[in-house]
Amino acid sequence: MRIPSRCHSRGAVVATAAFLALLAGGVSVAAADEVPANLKGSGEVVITSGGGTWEDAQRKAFFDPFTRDTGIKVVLVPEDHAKLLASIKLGQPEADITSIPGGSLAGWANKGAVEEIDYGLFDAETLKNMPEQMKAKQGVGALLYSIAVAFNTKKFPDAAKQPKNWVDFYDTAKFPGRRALPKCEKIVDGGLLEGALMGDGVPADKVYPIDMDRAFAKVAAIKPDVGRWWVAGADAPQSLIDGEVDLAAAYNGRIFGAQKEGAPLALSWDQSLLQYDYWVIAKGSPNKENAAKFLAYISRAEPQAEFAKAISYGPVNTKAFDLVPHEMLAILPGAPELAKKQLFQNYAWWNETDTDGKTNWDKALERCVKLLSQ
Amino acid sequence: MTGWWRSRQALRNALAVAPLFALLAVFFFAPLLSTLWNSFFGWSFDFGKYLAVISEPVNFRILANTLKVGVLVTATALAVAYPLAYQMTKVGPRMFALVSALVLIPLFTAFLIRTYAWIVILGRQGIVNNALIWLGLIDQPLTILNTTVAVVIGMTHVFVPMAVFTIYSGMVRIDRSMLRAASALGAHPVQAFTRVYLPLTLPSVLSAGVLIFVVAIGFYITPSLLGGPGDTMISQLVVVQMNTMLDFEMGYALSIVLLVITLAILLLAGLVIPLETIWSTGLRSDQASPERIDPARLRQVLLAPLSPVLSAVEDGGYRLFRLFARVPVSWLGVYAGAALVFLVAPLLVIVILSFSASPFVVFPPPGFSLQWWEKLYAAHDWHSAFLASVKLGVTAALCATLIGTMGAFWLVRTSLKIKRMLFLFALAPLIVPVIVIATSLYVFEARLRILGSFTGLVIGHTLLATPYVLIVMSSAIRNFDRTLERAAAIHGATPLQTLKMVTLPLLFPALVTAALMAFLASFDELLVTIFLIGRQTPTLPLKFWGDIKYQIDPMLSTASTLIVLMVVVAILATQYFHFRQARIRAGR
Repeated sequence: MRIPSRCHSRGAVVATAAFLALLAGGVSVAAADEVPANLKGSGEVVITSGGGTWEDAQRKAFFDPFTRDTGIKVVLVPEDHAKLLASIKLGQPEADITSIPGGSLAGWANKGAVEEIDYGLFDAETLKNMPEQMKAKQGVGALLYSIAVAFNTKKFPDAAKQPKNWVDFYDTAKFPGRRALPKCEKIVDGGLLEGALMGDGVPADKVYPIDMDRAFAKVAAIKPDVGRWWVAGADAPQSLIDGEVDLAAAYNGRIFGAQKEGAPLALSWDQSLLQYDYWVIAKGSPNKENAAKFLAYISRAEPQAEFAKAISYGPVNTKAFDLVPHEMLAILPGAPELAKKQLFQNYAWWNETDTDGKTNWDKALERCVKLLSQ
Repeated sequence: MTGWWRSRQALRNALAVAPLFALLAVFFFAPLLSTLWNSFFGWSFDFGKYLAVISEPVNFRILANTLKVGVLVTATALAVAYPLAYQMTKVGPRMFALVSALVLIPLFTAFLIRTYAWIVILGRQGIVNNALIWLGLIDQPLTILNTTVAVVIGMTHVFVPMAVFTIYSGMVRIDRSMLRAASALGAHPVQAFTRVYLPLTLPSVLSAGVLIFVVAIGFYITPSLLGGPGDTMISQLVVVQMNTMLDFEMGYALSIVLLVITLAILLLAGLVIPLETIWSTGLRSDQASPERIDPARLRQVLLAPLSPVLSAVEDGGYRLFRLFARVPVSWLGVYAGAALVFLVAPLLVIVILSFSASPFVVFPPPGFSLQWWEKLYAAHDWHSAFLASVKLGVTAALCATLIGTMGAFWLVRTSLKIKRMLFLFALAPLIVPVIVIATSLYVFEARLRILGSFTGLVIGHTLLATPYVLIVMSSAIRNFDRTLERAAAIHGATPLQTLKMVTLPLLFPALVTAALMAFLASFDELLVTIFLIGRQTPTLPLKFWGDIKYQIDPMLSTASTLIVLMVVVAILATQYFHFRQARIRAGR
């Protein structure tokens, strides 16, 4: 095959590269000419990221291709939702886009912290392949993920005696060892209360509406055995690897990422939560248009599939399931055979707003902060 | 001189101090007043948030915990530093250079790096636990990380170098013949120590203690990283209230409470020691502070009621002393050595980790590899963070040096009666807890629409760096021989010429020191940066802060090692420079 020389146009190089990649094994690379012209632009868009394998995957699947194809620069700032909210309240948001757990969307909306999404920039094909709940008025579905019971296989080498679910996780007599649990900031996406209730024997279909008294009592009871309250996704695998804890409530993608690097970790899908994040645009964002373009770009099937391959989180565009290798379907949250073991996190409940303007999320957060600082 | 001339000169002098006071008034006192005002909802004078601080058991507990940690850290740091400082007064010049370098290196190493090292050392599979298990002292790892013990260890490590230098500078002034006199008069060594030496060193110990305590109760980073949820300190509560709960007023009220406690302690300390000496041991011989500390009075006030108990303790101590003295070992040397190991160990761990062959942070590393150094060489985010820090540090240092030096001239040379007050006032950014400055500026700059801009960030850093410049420059200007200026004037030099050709060249070394201190203050700053950075490229400390939370690989250690190396080279270079100068002066 003729290798394109330097004097060839950039488009030709990209097209050739795409062709080569296709030959190499059906990997599709988004080439410049596939991208709708209305997504091209200039300037920048500021996005929060959580670092580690998560950021690497986003960079590979979203950020780099987006900048390459649209000319819009992506600037990353460390993810800190609390501080972002404070800066929005002060009228000067620190980022244009962030991803938040589905359960906190109403909380953000009630605080007037998010802009409405302009779906006019999305192409028809993408819109058709996105489930309805992924196209909320103020948020675009970002990914499907799972919080599940993970553990160190050196500590639990015997397959018959490994913790399988939340009941085991909360059973300190049968499974002695330190635990890692999400801190208050991650109360929804870390599934703290759902895990506690199932750990207390509540069957999966009876978890909602959440009995907060019961859930917090269970958390309070396990507090002495918690060796780490994590705030970042990478914390859970790190504390399992460095031996700070033996069991952890952890995100599937982080555990599989660490496994790939050779860490002795395992994860059980039993009673795992099926969750999703929304991308939201910060109220008062100076780069609103670029932000909308970014969301329209990455919701297409190809970037979604690339992301799933890089970090094994489920895509929000159903067509992307067709673009990933078949064996990956066994470890992608939301894939049909896995979904049977999982509990779909009920964001409607988390987003329920009381007469005083507080969502269940707000209330749980308050109680959590109180409990943990005791 | 006519009155007109005099007032014109006064006006010109006042112009020199104007930038300093303008900076303080606009970006320090105005934000603080605004915080105070809003903490009780302005005109509605609703003190509900203050009530909540006291009545909510959780808040009260955090307050109590903050003070407890402050006391523990102060006591531990002094206990580690005192014998080390004493040992430093006894060693030869070469040993002194080595010891002071070992104390200086941690002092100038970003404390985020040190905190990170403690995470590795104190973890359940950390060095301490592994060593104890290997020695057979325990069979299950102890939980040290995420406890108060870890917080105290980490914070003590931050404060020991400072305490050593403060106490040392007090000790070298003591005339040793007084000890000989005491023993000639029949005091046994323990008595000579408790009745003569200790009281004489007490002022410097007090200075160090007060400084440590007021800084310690405002700590945010160390308790966040090393403590568990039960070790929350008041600064963390301020951040949680303002960010997580979005309850700004609660954050304001807590800030004011912290500020009031800090000021109360300083006021109390001010009864015994001149306050400005706390921040600058060099000022002690200063004529500007007429009341000197009378050690005898101090001892009387503090110890007189306990006199009989004291004698018993002294005698008991002496017996113990003789017991130890039988073993021909320099116990003090051993103690000082252990203290030095404590100071340097975290840095060694970081260096070793940077050559790890593992993709994760595990200690000891399974093998040697340069992979992280190669990755650091290619890591653009680290490069840009480094450049951002240097750019910010240089800009802030230039601003602070200019503003601070001009201010120092006026503060030293003015004949105003209230100049001591004004000096303390100018040091206020060092006195007020950083979290209070950070949150106040955050809200204030948002109102001015400069939040998240480079200007906004430079203002914050200049504010924090200027007091260091003031301290260094005012002591230099005070020791400056003014007759040289008059001589120049007599020979026809204009004031500007005098400044350019006489004053500044003579003050040049001090200027360099001041600028360097200002740069380091900015280079190491995290808390104000967290709040003011907005969407700009993160600085190095911010990058560290994010990576400690998000990364699981040893890259952080590699970047830290590089910084430590730079610090070591800088310190060795200065020491070499000083040695050479001393030799030149000695005529060799």
